[in-house]
Amino acid sequence: MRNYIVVRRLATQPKLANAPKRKWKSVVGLEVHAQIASVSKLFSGSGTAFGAPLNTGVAYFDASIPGTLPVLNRKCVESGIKTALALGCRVNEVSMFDRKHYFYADLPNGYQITQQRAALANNGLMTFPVITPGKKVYYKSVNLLQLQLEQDSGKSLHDDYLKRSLVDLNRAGLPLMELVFAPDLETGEEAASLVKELMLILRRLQTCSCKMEEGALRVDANISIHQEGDPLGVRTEVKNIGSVRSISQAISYEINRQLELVADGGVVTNETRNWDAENRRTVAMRDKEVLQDYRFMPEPNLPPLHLNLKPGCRSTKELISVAELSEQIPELPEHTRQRLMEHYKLNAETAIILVNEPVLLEHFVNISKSLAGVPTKVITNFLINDLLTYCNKLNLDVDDCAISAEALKDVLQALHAEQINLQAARQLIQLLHNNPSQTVSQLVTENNLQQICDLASIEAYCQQAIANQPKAVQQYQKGKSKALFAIVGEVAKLSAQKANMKLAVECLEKLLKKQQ
Amino acid sequence: MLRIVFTRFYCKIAAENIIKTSTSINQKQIDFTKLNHTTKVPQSPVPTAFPDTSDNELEIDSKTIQLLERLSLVDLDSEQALLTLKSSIQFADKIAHINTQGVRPLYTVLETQQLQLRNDEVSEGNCREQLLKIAKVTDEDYYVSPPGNIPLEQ
Repeated sequence: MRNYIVVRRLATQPKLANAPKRKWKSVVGLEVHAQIASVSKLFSGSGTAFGAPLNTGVAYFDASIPGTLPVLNRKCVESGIKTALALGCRVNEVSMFDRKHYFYADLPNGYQITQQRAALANNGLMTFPVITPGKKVYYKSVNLLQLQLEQDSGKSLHDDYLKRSLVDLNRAGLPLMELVFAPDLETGEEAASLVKELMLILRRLQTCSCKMEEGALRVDANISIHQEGDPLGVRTEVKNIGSVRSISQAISYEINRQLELVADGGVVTNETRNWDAENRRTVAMRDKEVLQDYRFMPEPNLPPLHLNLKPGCRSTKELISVAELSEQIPELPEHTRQRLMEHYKLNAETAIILVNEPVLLEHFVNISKSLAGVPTKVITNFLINDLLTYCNKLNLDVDDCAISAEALKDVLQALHAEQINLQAARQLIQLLHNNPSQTVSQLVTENNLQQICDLASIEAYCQQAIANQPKAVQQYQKGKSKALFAIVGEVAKLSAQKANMKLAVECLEKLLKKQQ
Repeated sequence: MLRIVFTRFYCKIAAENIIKTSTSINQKQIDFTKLNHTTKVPQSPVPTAFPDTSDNELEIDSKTIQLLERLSLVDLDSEQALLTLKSSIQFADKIAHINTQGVRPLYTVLETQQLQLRNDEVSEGNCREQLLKIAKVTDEDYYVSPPGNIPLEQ
């Protein structure tokens, strides 16, 4: 709409009036900081426990005491390499560390040790399904430009009232992998899908806990807009995105903000903006009014990191073998999806949902293994439509659901054997979650959930239902077959949802035929 | 004073050899030519062909000075401070005039050495009292600093 107004305003100028309206395109690039799962810091031997008492996880080196030197954590290098391999990167035989200077109170050294000139790995590629509500799932590929190891900074608490910052150095020196992705994305949903897939991969590799709420995974987004055919526009950087949902919200907000700004005749400036999750908007930061001068320089205290790239080699105390680590890479999410689709003949959507919820996937594999006779469709429908929906309704993580795989198996077995019906199965989910110590058969008996299959009882219910629904019976007799649903519903009501519906339908049809 | 950071060199002089040779003679009289592993530092002055840049004209605009003040946290307002800055730049300017074409940059003399790796174990930390004691201002268990980088609208 605003574009239209601009065009109208300029319509007096003949040249512009004839110019074709060109579409605006948005370009999004992500930088992800993932905290490497380790017990000690990147360059010092202090602990990494989240939520440790203030300033206790701090060694002399982390507090920048003169005379201390960095010693690299082997596990962090190995985790970085594994992640790089899983993302299809070229791992570099020699990588180096650099100092990047900042004046922040929570960075006691005045610089961060990072990898700028020669990173651990480059040139990866990530392909992931993009899930947009109401749209078909599609796959997107994004280049991973660089994967580097670096230190985290401490944490500052800003005290506005007393105009001061309170500094906790527990986070200072924690190991991070920074993943720099090429600006190959267009929307917030694509960005959120990328991060979701990355989280699945990192969790499989166990190289990062991916707990965004603890800051173990942080996402910065670079966003710009340009008209089709033009070079890329000036970008803004949005920081402080604290959840997967915020990623798509923050990016969509920023794209719209830039579009409106430009439509109103404004110019996008290169700045850092903060995502304000409460008010759902981005806010300019005081930082970066001038272009930052990081004064990169080689880290003189760390010689280059050498790796053994020869195939078939083993790691030694001094030299890590990349080939050995590549053997430790587990099955990756996309491979699992393909396997599910091939082996169990699941459709793409079902496979994606199962892989996104590792607990559901585990349940599915266990149940389909032990209940070979039950069609996979019944199992996936039950897990996704009933179990997952139940958890979502309670706003519960599937991991926190108390129902054991054994119990789920029993429910499905009973369901398949027609001992209980779907309504009873749904009820059982709730019962099992609230009474995890009881078995399925106990709960079925105690709560009287058995399905009624005895033909005499069903016929009695059916006759009662026919008597209760004369109007529907009349319509059905006139040829309106849909009216049968009303009578079936009545049977369900009369039997307290326990009658075997398949038998009930057969019985009803027989009875109604007789009446004619 | 503008801080010029020099790359630190860690030359490994075999300490054992020094001790061996120095047991008989006084430490001040070590004959460096007789060491098994001699130091890489030249023992006599080496004539250098560095161009003399001390008289080069140098103009620094106020914006650059402001940037340098911000980066170095040094006040460059006084005449003397500015003069020191200029002479530092003139001195370091020699480097820019050396022909390095075709020379691979050397980042460290330890380039061919293996970087030592440490196993992932907790071996340090838990020294809060000692570290907080040397900070100027603390509050409870926090270090206290001037306000930092915060969003504009707050």
